[in-house]
Amino acid sequence: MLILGGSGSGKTTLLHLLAGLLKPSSGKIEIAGEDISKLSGKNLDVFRGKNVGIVYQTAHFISSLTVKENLKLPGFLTGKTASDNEIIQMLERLNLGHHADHFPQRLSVGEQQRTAIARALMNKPGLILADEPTSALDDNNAMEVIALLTEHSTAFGSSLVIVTHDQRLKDRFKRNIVL
Amino acid sequence: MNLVKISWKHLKSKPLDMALSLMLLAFGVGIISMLLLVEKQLKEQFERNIKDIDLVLGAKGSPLQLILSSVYQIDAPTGNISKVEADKVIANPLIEEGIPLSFGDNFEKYRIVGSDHRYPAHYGATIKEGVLWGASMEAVLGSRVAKETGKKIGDTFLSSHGLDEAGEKHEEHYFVVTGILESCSCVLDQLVLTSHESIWDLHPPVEAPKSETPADTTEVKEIKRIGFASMQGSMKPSSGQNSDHREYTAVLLKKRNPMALMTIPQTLKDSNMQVALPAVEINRLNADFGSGTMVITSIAIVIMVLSFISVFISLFNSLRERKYELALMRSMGGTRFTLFRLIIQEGILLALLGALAGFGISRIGLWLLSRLIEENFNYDISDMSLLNSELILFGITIFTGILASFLPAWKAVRIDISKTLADG
Repeated sequence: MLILGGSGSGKTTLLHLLAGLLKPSSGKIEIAGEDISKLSGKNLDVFRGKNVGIVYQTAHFISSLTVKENLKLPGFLTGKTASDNEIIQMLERLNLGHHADHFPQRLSVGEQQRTAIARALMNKPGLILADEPTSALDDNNAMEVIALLTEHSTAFGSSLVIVTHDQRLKDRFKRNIVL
Repeated sequence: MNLVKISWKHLKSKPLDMALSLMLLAFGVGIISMLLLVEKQLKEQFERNIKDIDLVLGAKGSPLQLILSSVYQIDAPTGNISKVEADKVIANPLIEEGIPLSFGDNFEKYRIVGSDHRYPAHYGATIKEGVLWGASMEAVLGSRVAKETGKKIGDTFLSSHGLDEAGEKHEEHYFVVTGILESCSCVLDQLVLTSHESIWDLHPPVEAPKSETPADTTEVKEIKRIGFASMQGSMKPSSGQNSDHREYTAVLLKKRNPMALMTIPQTLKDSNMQVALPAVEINRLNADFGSGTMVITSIAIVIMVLSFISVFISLFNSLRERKYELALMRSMGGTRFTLFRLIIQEGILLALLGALAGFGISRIGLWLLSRLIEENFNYDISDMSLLNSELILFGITIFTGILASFLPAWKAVRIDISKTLADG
């Protein structure tokens, strides 16, 4: 699903609400039958870590850790650390295998965004949220990232929600909401 | 992967910040721990050697010098005293026992002390090999002397005049080693013990050989000296005071009655002798040391405070850069407590490494200092074992690390993740 909207229309706010990073002042948000507006503190953090993968506009990493170690984090933080094998497989899928032991800062912007996608997929979340994942990328990279997001969310059976103002994506999704 | 590893990797990614904090911590801890080590060992040495010595009788001069020279063997003696006069003090009913010492020579910088067998017995020293000295020019080596000079039973050596090696050698008067003492961790370890007679034989009283004429050959002189000394050796103090010119350097006295501490000094008022109280002099010395120690301790505490500030600033500063990373960790399932632990751990890791490096520094410092002290005073202070007070110091250091990282950790807990991620 694609949510289109200009800047200031509340796209990111909506995404953060969906991710449980923000609390709604009223109403409720249900993910996989769980009302996340009722979860709090630690439970919310862990629920998010397990069920929601987030891709941001610009890819950020823990700069003191390698690509491989960064990919280990989602599992580690939710209590089920992925094996090296799983990580290498994931990196190979996204064509990043040779970067496993590099520091993320050394990768190109496109590679960084692919690594961020890999990280979002690591816990096989039911919901993948992407906040302007293509706006910092050129046409080729943007299309590649969208292709990867759709391909892998389908492969893992995850729902994909992209919020963006990037008109290039409009025709790639059947379900569009314009804010 | 574990959280400590993540903390450590972050510290390592900022090597300069880490180096500054570590250096300050290590020096603060190092100085304090070295002070503790030196203080404890000197105190122990001082107390062990002062054991049961209530008074020291010697020539007039600085009482501290008298104590240092005769009890600890680290200063020049204040002079010699007449044996006859000294024996009178020993005979005083207020005195239980007096152990006379005569010294002023050395063998390869180890002092040669003439005394009787009560001297080693006083420190509970036991013989390791051979027997205690008997006749004149027989010597027993302290354990360190034997180890350092490599002399064995039956070996002979020449003594030098004065207290350093450069002194004129007493040619042709060979000492012979009859025994080696077991280490007592006391002053005896660094001494060569012999009889009073040996010392008297080497240093005949100047007034004695009056008959000596310029025509005398060296050989004749020697014969005269030996003859004189053996005559002296057989003399009893009562057998004529005027002819007995033999001298002691000091006498270690044990009181029978506390009154001795009051009355003995009175009786010596008009003589060239004095008595000094080791306990009083050492307390005075400790007080002097104490103010020096205070200054160094204060400096070390200032360094510790600076290291606290350094740890705090480096963690606090990096927090600003890491805000996004920390919010990211929350978005991936990390809890507030995860972030709190992450940063507190960084403080603890810094403190831990700083403390360990500090203990390393103090050991190296002690090793250097002990070599210096050994060279100059023959005292061994190289015991490197960990002290209880150092464990307390270790605890304080770790606590400092926790304290310095607490506010940064608390800030990390309070990060508004939605806002941080949206601004990123």
